[in-house]
Amino acid sequence: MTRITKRFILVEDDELSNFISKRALKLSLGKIHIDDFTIPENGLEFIKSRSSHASHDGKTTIFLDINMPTLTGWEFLDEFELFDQSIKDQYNIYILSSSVNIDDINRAKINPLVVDFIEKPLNKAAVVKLFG
Amino acid sequence: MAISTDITERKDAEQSLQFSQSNLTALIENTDAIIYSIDTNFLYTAFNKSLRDKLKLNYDLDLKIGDHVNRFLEKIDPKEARQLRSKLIEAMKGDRIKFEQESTFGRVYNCSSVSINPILEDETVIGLSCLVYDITQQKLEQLQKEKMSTDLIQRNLNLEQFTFIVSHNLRGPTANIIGFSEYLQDENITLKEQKELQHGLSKSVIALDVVIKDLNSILQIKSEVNEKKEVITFSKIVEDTITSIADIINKHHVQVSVDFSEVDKIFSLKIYIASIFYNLISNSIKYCTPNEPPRIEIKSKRENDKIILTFKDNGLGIDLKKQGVKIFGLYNRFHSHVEGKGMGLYMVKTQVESLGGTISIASQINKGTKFTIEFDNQNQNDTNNKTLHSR
Repeated sequence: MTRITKRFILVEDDELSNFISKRALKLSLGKIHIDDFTIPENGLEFIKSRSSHASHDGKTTIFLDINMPTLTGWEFLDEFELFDQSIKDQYNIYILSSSVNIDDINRAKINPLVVDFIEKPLNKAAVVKLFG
Repeated sequence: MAISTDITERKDAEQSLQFSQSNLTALIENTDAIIYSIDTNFLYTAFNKSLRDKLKLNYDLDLKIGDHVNRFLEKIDPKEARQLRSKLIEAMKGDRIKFEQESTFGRVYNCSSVSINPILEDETVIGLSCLVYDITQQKLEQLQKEKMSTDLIQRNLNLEQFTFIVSHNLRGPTANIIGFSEYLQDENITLKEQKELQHGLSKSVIALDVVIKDLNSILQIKSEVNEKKEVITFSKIVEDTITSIADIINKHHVQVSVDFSEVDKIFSLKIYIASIFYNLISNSIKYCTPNEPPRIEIKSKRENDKIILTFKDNGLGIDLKKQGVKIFGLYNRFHSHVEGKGMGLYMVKTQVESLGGTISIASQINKGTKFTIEFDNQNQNDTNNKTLHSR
């Protein structure tokens, strides 16, 4: 029985935060594939270019930051929404933010494209809870 | 008998007429309001003590019955006189008119409520009666109230911004610190990993410190405004700025051209003006078009009572349709390729506004950016004078 390699995309301009998230995912889930983008536009481009790849290995999880210079997480979601349904179906998006602002949290919860809001830092306990 | 009765009645009537006339005169004379009437040739037919005294005191004018209104109107500000003339003409057509007139006599601000009523005889206008009373005090109080609510709204916005800063900019590095220290507590890490994690931890702590220092300098803006203002020379400020960042200027072959021929001096707070120039100049260099030497044009001009400064560059520009609202916001950044904290323009805007000015931006992607700053030169002293003189 071959184990499916879980795929992740990090969209986050802070490299330190990416380091922490990657470590949490790897330590808890073992062999996984992570693509990280410090420039959100590049993340969108990547998702679009991968559209032809039919997904055989389950959905890809995106961890999306809110506060980024060129494109905020919310703007990223606006762009993502315009993609074909077939693309959108391949992803689960989580907002991963340092925000403790209730407005941000509710805005994430009410957005149909977002599965949930996760407060930084992403740690092993949180990963296990999500995917364990 | 019948005759004597007639006389008594007439006497009574005369007496009561005289009585009511004295009452009327007393009423008109004993008020601070200005009351006068004119005929259809714009000649004074009556006026009270208040007008007589005011004209004597302010314009050394001895007004007489039969004088033309222009004897007074010639003395006042031509714009105000024009306004008053057109209102008188309007009223002569039979309309009742009420308006507020603001004026400045010397440096004293004044606001009056003016009502002009046509005097009618057999449905024809035979003249006008005018009542002018001082509402300066109410007006100033109203202005003060308006200013207070604008200040309060601004303060509320600032508070909202601080909630955002706490959520994103203080919490960000803090979350990283939590993350790194959690891993460092794990006993199974290798020495190499430990080094890496410690490095990350230290970077996060420094990032947190930077935000705290930023917060401090933002909060300081509010207290510095009360510091002493002085006469500042624009050309000197530019010179100082260029000297302080000479390395960057030389490295990027920056061309700075200035034109302060119209105004080269402003009475203001030096640290703010210097910070505004520094931030706008370094912004233009930071966001310059690749492989093209940055050109920065700084100009000053005088328009009415305003001093207008413009900063124009040939840099990357910005999509104002997309980012317009956020351009002056705190911690908002628009380019990923260069280091920036998103503090510069926020500081510039806060400082300009603290000095009673306004700032606006015009920009197009790849076509450069132009900032326009307006300082109300009169305003800084005027607000104080208004309150001073009226009390």
